[in-house]
Amino acid sequence: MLTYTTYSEAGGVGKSTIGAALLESHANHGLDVLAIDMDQQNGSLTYLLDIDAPRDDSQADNIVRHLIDRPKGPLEDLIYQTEYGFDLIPSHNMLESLEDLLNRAQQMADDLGEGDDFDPYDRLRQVLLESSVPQEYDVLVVDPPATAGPHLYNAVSATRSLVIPVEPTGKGMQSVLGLEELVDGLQERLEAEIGVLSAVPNGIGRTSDQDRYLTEIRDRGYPAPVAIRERSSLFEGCWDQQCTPRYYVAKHRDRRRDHESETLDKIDRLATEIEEVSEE
Amino acid sequence: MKKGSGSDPFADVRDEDDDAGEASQPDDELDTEPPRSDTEDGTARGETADDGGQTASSEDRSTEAIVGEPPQDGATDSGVPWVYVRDNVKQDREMVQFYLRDFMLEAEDEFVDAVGDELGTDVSKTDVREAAYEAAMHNVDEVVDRLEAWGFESVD
Repeated sequence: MLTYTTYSEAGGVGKSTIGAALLESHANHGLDVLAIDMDQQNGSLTYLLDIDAPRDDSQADNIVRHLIDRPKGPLEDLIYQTEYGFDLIPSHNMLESLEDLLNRAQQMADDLGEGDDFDPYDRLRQVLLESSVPQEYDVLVVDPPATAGPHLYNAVSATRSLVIPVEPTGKGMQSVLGLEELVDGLQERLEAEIGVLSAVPNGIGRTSDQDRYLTEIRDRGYPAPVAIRERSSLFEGCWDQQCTPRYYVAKHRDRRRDHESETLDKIDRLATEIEEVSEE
Repeated sequence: MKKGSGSDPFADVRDEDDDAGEASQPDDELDTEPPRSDTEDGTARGETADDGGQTASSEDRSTEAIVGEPPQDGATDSGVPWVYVRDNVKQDREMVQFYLRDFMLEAEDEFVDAVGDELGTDVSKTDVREAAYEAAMHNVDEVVDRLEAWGFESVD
């Protein structure tokens, strides 16, 4: 099973947009794909894909209830089908208090003498293990918010591999270094090996820049098959119309733009590469 | 951090599949030890004297008309207990003024401690007050006894 978390330390680098495009590509390659939106912000995958889930109904079952061991039904009931061939477990406002809720659940587990079995950073993996997800899907992608915290830790623990969109600036490269420290700490904490399937420089300008950043990332030892050029009008259009980049180009562009087709092709190549790397 | 994919997060379930569908969890040794509920002096301190025969008669009385079920799903019906979903102790609560005599104010801290000892976890005074009030609404007779002791008399 191909499992990964899309993560970047900086927000606004096109993480969810690239994530949505990758998910669609995996599905187009004939794979059964499930995405889990762990981002509590409104600008999340759930919004981008226009999934009408009851995110502010605290009585409705949602992923957080499962993480704190208070589900209202089977996890499978939380799965929505998207228009793009893959499935999604949507975001919910309860994710805003995830840290607090996990702490209280931990406290309660401790009080009941079950504290040793409750790992607040490994809850998502446990919940998935107890569901049919590992048997029914070929690909699992988790989209956490762009901050270190229990959302990220649960995502990484459940997937153990990362795809990292990187801003092609000095700051962006710094964030890769910061991520290395974070992942090292996490590896120790989770006692699991965490891998990087790909770094994706996103939003770069001229061809020479692309080459420079790709070289720098590869020199650090990360796979980086493609760099995405600056495509703000395409990515903003996706958010306006609430759809994936491929759908946006197909349905909302009156004429074909070669550079946008090129971007879609690159993302598809990236998806293929990720699928291949995971099989090695 | 290594390049390529990390370890298999669902290795456990794969292994189980290989074992001819044996559905047992990897490590669910049953912990048969019941949750601790006995504390040395917690109950005794919170209890009041001389209420020996009261409980039986007050249980007969239906109190549903006086206080209904709390609006939030509870631990017993697989909902999320209220304490988990609220952000702070004042959430969803109206403030009401309570006038209390000194002896009650003095006893209150000890009462909260005793309840906390029983629960085995810290609990706020605000929560204990509301729980105590709710408990009293299920024990109307006991409340009546106290009021009578204070001098309230039937006019019959």
